[in-house]
Amino acid sequence: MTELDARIRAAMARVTAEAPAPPPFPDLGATPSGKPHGRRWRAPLAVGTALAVVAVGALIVSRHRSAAPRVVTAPAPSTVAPPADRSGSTYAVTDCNTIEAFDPATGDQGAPFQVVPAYRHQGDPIVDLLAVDDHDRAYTSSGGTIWVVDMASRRVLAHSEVGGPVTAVALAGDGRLYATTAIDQIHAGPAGSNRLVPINSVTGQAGTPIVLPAAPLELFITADGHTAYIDGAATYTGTEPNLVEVTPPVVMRVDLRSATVTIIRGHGPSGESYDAVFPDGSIALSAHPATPGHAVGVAVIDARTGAQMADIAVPVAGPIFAVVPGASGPAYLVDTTGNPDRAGDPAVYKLDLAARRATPLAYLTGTSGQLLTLSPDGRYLWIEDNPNPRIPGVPDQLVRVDTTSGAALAPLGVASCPLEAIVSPRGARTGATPSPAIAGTAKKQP
Amino acid sequence: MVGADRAERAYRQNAVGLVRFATALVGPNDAPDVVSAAILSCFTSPAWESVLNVEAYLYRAVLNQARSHHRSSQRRERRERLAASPALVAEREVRDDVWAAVERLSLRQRAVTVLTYVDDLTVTEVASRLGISDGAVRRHLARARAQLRKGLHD
Repeated sequence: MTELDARIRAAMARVTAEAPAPPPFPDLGATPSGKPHGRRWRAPLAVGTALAVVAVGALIVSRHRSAAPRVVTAPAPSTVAPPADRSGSTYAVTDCNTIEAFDPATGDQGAPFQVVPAYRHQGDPIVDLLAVDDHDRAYTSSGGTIWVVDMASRRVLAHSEVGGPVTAVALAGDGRLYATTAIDQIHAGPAGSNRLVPINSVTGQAGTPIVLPAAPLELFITADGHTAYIDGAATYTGTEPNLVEVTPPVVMRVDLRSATVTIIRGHGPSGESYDAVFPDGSIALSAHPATPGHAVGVAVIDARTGAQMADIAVPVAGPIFAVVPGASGPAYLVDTTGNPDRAGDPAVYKLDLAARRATPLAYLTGTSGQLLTLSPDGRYLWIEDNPNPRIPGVPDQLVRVDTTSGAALAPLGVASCPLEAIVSPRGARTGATPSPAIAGTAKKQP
Repeated sequence: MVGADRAERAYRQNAVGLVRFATALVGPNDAPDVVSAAILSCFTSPAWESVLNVEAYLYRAVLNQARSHHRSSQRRERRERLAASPALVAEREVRDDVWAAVERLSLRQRAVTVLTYVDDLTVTEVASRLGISDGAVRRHLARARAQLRKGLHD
């Protein structure tokens, strides 16, 4: 799938997104039975030869089938969606089931979008915002349903049942959407229940699933849309706390063109699977679990072969939250309690993969540091500021860190704690400043 | 009435897709009209009872109706331009670049493009739905891609 294909797909999606509601079914009873309306052309259109062009070459026989007046049901009024506002970057933050949109430059907030009415019947109140494309379409899930939401018009465009609880969603560079499902991520689920499902990102229509050999945890699609890398969970037997690992975690590579699945083993020394894969699929990162007061290792792995390329030691004070790769170049890691100036606050590290070195980028205060998202242009790192329980009075906000200077920019207040964030690529594509759009969700609080 | 039930069921199953298809062909304002006229002509035709591939039949009907719609709207525009002074002729609807690029495609090219890129159909499936050969689908698609390559800019 080429870039042109992706552009055509996006263009046609935009054209058909304006489709109005279908007209009502016509009243066929108003017509005499068996009598078609209006004029019907019976085929005989005799075309003469080239020499007989002067003569009439076609004979058209028509007949009136009914004298009854033509009854045409009035179409429903067109409900054309208002044009999307493309003038600037928009932030969307979801709290449980509300998506808020706001401009990162001014902090102006748009009207929140309530997803609840659209999926309440599903019985699952938690909406996870999984991806946002460069047309401001957000892809969310609740249970086994994927919802496609147009953030510009605040409409649910489509939804799709994917046949099992969604564990991850990823957008391919060509605009296609993929979701993974798993019924049980701990024990071996029913045969065929672990799946990778292609989804039409316009219609929400689920395609033919690819069965996976292990429960999928994370999903990465390469920028060319040809390959998927999927973190597969270990399989256990028994019940907590006495679970016994019977199958180690696997990493699956799926050729999306041929739907073939290959198992590669590319885990870090401790058996952890991928945390992140670079967009070109070349390098995967796997962070070892941290023990407070000790260094952790970030394994740099060739995602194609599973071979370990490097192991970077990072001196951490507490649990790390995530490792995110840039489009190219450095990756980032948050040590959630690693601020030496203020115990209990997070430190952000920049990982230089070539030099195998981790250097502190920023020390944050008052945040829990439990969210890490990098803008597609690599300029800003977004860290969720779920109020640090150790520091009372800190509002819910998002903190933005300049990846060049390490400066923390003015935080953006949100209605309540966001626990996930996604940066829309639209701002990066249009060169909008100061940053691309971001969207996030918050899971229901315990 | 069995025929009416079958018609209504077929319409319910395909209505959204048909309107989306018609939107790509004639725009959102005329799409409901085109679909209404197409399905009415389908469901009241004596041939309806013997239709096997209902979906393809409905899509072809919408494409034919869109073609007819184009012809009549072009005739009307020409008439209006002849009859009215230039100042009174309504300006054509102003659309953005994407629509402008799509409008440069022929109806058949639009049909093939929307079925390929929006409905994710294979060449064979598009051919079956439109009642044309695989080769014709590839030809229309190649021309549409060439046109859109010129018209779509980042």
